[in-house]
Amino acid sequence: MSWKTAIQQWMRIVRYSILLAIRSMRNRTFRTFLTVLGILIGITTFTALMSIGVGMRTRIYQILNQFSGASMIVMSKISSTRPSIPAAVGTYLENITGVNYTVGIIEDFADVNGESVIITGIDPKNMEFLLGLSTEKGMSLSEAVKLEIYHACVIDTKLQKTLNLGINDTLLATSSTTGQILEFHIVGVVKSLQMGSMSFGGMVYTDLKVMQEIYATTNVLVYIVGLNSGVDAQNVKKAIAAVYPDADVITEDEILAMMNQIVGIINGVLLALSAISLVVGGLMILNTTMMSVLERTREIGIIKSIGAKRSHVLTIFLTEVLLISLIGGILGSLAAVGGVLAISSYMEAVYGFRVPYSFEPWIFIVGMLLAVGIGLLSGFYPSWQASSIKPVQALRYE
Amino acid sequence: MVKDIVILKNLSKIYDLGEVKVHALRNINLAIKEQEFSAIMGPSGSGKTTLLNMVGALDLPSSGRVIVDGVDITDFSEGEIADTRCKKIGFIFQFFNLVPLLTAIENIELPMLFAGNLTPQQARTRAKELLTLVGLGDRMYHRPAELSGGQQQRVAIARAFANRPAIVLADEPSGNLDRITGIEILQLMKKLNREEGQTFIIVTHDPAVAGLAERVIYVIDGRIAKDRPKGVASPDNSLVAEMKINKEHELARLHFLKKQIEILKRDLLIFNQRRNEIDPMLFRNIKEQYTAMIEDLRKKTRWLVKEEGEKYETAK
Repeated sequence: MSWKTAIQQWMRIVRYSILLAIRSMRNRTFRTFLTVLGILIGITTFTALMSIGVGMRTRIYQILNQFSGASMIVMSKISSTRPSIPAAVGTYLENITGVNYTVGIIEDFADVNGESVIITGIDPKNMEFLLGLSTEKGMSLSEAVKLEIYHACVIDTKLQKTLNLGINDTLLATSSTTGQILEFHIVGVVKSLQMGSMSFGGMVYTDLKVMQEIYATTNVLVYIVGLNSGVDAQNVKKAIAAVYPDADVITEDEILAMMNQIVGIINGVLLALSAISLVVGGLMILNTTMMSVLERTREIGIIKSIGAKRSHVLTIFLTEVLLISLIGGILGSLAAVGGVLAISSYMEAVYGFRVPYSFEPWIFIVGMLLAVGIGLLSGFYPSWQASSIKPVQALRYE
Repeated sequence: MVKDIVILKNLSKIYDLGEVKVHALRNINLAIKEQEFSAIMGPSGSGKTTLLNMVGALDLPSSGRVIVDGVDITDFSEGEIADTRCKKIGFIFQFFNLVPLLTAIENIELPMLFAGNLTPQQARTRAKELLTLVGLGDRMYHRPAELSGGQQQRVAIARAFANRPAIVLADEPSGNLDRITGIEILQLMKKLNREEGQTFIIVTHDPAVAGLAERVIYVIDGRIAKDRPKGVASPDNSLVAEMKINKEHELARLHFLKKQIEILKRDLLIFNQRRNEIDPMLFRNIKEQYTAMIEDLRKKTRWLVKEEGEKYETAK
């Protein structure tokens, strides 16, 4: 038989196998449904978790890019909650070659009527360019400082809606660090800080000097430093350490590496979870195929007695396994998209937090390959057993 | 000169069951000629089915040689054995053994698919011809569960013929059928042997079935005890007589039906001549009824068995 004829014959065997597989699946609808469900759950888990994992990674990069050009964060080893970096360090930083800007901030966690908020003390001139916030109502912090309004602050829209606060209201916040009750005067409302698809609520912005006055210090908690392009962050880090040995400097690359490590760990956990689902799906296929072989032992004997070779029997059973895997893979991919969209909408509606996701084509391709691969791997052994059955024994099987 | 289509030389089969060894066949020497209609007879456990399995390459002997259509298949690989079963051997089983998920026509196409000699269209055409040959032209797309026992066995016979095999092996082909249906099946097989020149080997424990064969090979305790060739009287010719009577009944019925058709056609002719005296719509209705009755009778005559030497003509 020439190779062309052999291929044509094999195609006919495959067509017949597909016909047999479809009829066999319809003959045992409930069992087919359960087997498909096993693969479906596995692929849904894999696709959904991978999409979320990729989405998270993308969002983290976006978050980092929010701080336009911020290259390093200088903190103090002395305290991570109380402002400990002297103002002189800021002046020195500004004069280091290659430094574009230096922004000192003081942050404090506080409680306002049961809501957790972050109070950020920042020079109003730096607020817009660093944080990218625009005033939605009332006046900006810059204008309030010019007008010398006492303890002026701006709050974000989320806090404003949550506590039903208005312009000129007094905001009383209990500091989590000191326990002090801090009083502010609301002059304006800014858009909530958007970090990709996540919106953080509960931000209060005030002048750095106000926070320094509250803490009775001229220090700052953190310096955010922006470097010019091409400048080696490590050299600047050494220069800072030479003047301020208590500095704890994190560069953008180090932040990125940390984030990547965290995301990597999260992705690893997600992969492990989806691997468990896939293994369960594979075991279901193995079980179903073994049962099918047992039930169709006589049928195998019949077709072998009329001339079927081992490869024909293998093709018949593996075709059924492949069909089940493909159906499970396709439905699983669709279920994953639906599930992720549903969860994301629910989380946003109830908790104000939208789960990041990204439906990359490679995730679906890998998902389908996994479905087919697991199906064939699980179904191969029982199919091979089927093809090895001796016809004379099989024909006696009741 | 008629050649030997199957040759068994010093054939033995031993089943090793651990402590016990079962000698199913002991030193069998047998040759079956082309176009022979042979029966292998014996009591239960005599080894007749084992012998059939050896001939049909369903099982391999422990020693000896098996030669089918001039080819020694004893040392064939698994693939070669499957190929031999596909192209040279046709099987008919007691319990029909059709693939339940396939229709009648698909069951017949299956051996042709495995042989790979025909295109799908050619296979479908041949399958239709075979189904018509066995009298099931109107049951092509029925699954085995939708067919009676006799019909399933007819499909099995058609399937056995799919690849024009050198021999057809039948293991108790009428064993699972009622007497009348069993006779019909055996008549069909005899007809195919006669008209198609097909070699048949039938395994049976029923002397009446064996009585149909030209040659009866008696197997007892794994050995050939007796080999009654063509011409020697069968110990039991009751089935032959019954089939003969059955044939005579069928012929009488055929003549009766032909006569009925003639009467109806004559009546229709007279009716046509008097069409002017009858209301046109009434005339049309009555004519349609006559035509339907004639067609119905013609269908009934079509599947009757023809007598040896007598030309069969469907009623015109």
